[in-house]
Order: sequence, then C-alpha cells, then structure tokens
Amino acid sequence: MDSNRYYVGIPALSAAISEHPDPFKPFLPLLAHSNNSEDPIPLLTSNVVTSLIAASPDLSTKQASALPKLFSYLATLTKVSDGGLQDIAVLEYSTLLRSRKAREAFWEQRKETVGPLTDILRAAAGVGSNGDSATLWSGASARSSEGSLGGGVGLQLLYHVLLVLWQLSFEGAAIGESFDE
Amino acid sequence: MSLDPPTYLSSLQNNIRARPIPWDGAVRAGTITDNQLSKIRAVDKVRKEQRKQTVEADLDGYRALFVGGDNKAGVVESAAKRADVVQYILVLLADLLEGA
Repeated sequence: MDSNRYYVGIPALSAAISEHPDPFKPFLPLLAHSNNSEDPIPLLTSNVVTSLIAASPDLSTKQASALPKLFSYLATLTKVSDGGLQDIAVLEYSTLLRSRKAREAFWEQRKETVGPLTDILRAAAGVGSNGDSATLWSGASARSSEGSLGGGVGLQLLYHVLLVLWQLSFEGAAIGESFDE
Repeated sequence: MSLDPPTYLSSLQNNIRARPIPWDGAVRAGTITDNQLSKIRAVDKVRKEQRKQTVEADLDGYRALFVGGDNKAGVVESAAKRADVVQYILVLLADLLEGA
C-alpha cells in the first residue's frame, strides 16, 4: 500500500539522515510547538518525521524512540473536530503501522491512540460514547463535501480509521484479546 | 491500493511553496549561513531529477543542512525563531524525501 509515496523521493537522503547520531532531535520539539491544532509547524513536522521513520522497513532504535512523541501529537489531531486534520493523523498512523515495532508501540499507547479512533467509529455509527444508540446511519451534515455518516464523519476518514485498525489486527496474538476493552 | 495525500496537507504545502522568503535578509540576520543558503537554492524550485542528483552528490552536506552535524545546528534548529523559514524548510525536506 502507498508504496510509491516514499520511494520516488531520494531514499539516500533518508538513509543519510538516519545515520545521524540523533536525527530526530531538531524535529521532536516542534511537535509540541503549540497547542493550536491548526499550527502548520507541528503538522509539517509530523509529516517529515513520518517519512523519515517509514523510509526503512525495520525500525532502528533511534526511529522507535521518536514514535511516542509522534503518536502523542497525532493522537491530539484525531481528537479535533476538523475531519481534514483527523484524516492527516490517521493516514500518518497508517504509513507508520506498516512496521511491526510501530504497531506494538502504537498499542502501548492505546489509551491515547486507539481511544479517539473508536470514538470516531462510535460517532459514525451514531452511538454516543456512553453507549446509548441514536439512529444508526443518520446521515448528519458533514463539513467535507464527500459522503458522510452519522456524527458528520466523512466516509474517507472512516475508511482510513478502519484501515488502521485492520493493520493493528496483524498483531492479533498480542492485541486481539484486549481489543474488547 | 494507494492513499492520496490529504488535500488539507497538500494545499498547505502549496501555499508555503509559493511564499517568497527573504533569504538574503535571513543570512544577514544570522538565521542561516551563506553556505546553507546556497545548498537550499541548489534544490529549491529546480527539476526533480536535477534536485535528486544534487542531493545524492552531497549527502553529508544535505544531512548537515537539515539536521546538523559536527557540532553545528541544522537550519531546522537555527531558524527556530523564524516560523516562515522553518515552514518552508519542512516543506522542502518533505519534497526531497517524498519526491513531490
């Protein structure tokens, strides 16, 4: 999936940067640049850090150590009400979760990372977080011009959330049992 | 299956690419060095193939440009107080990494 996105670039540059003793040092503080979810700097930084991490199939220790801060930032985006920002975060998750180590790290932070994704699913199904079911598929109006389900959740966002959960399911043995939580 | 980059992100990147940056002023202010500016200019707004050749011929130089090396900070850190420069550099780096 998405295999072209990172390989029509300059892989040698990703490799050279990852040989730096502390390649993520300039970037990680920028993820916490502000609390404004529309600040372009953390958003653009997360895009660069995701590229640098996803460029190699096996995560190095340096790459793995950058994941918690990246996941924390992306998790804040999945909680905003703007479907466009939520979709960026979920797509970056999807790019990162191609690696097994990243899936495990994602699951380690599941309260932060998985929680908001299940909220999106609940909203799409028209079920409140307290479990009371409203009308399913109620087709509320959405900000996006694309189709939407209940709670204004865009179809594209819903699809990407399901994709991420599906990727996580590859760690079935470790994760499956506690998915019901 | 391919996932298109989100439109929100692409339009943000397009806006930033189109912004004029007063590079010479940034050099005079000490935000970036002459050497860093010439590396940026060598890959900014040039054809993809040429950009790739330039970077591949000087990988150590471009790594130092973005993330620093030999106890010198890269532009991402040295320009920290100039949001316009940092944004431009982040988009340029993403373009180089992803081939946009």
